[in-house]
Amino acid sequence: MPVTTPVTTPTIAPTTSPTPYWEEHTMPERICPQQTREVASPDVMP
Amino acid sequence: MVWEMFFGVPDPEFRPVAFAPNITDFPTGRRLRCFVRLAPQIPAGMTAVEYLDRAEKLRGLADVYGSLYLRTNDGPPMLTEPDPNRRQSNPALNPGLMDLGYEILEDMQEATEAHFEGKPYAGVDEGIEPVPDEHVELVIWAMQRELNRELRYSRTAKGPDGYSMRLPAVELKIYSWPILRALVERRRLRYQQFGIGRHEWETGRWSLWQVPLDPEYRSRREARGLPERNDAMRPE
Repeated sequence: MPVTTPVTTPTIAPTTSPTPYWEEHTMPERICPQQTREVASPDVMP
Repeated sequence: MVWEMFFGVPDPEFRPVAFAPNITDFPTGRRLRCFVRLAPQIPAGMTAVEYLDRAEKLRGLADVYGSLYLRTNDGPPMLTEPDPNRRQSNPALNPGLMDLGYEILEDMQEATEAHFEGKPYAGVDEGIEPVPDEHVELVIWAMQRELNRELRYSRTAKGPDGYSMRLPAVELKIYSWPILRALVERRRLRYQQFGIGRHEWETGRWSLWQVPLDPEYRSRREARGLPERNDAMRPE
């Protein structure tokens, strides 16, 4: 894949919550096949 | 006839199976993977590759697979600006394009890791039409809309009633602009890698024959060791 210079963002220090972010959110990798095909949003132009 | 209506594939010759059930190992190859998600039982004595080859040579089949519906589900087929009032379901990709869905989701997962963990996250510089800022906003809105629609249960956290609780979706808009832009650029590239661009979006049709053969291709999700799910037609 042709890529640009990597974009790096500052890490957000988990000071307020001891819970890892992936335990506090529905992560994209966990969603089901049907929803996966919806998230691609084929009603919006690529 | 429902099958025909949704997927542009005639019934009853093509029955709605998630993918040909006599395939035990999910194949590599970009076009072949799309094909086996749409194809019925692979004829006895024939490999999936041979069957794909035959489909391309038979005019009837070649025409069918050359003009498949891009979208399934109800909903307005094309959106050019956010529609925050709409609460019903929106179009989904044709199940044949499951890998495209997974690739976009992988990019979204990596964007999430870039935001929370500071991992590098590259956009796409060459090979795609430039993406205007308004389009970034539209795509992020559209993807968030679908992320919010259905939430997963927590594996650990309990709600006030003592039962497992649903977790909110990740909120894309808090990610930095370079990450969001990179995500939308990658999405454009992923569609392009499956032979889908503005023309396909406008006509609502895609062609299996425009998907590159790419014989070594397997999804990044699969490469990460996550199982190939034979449930494109059987939502959880």
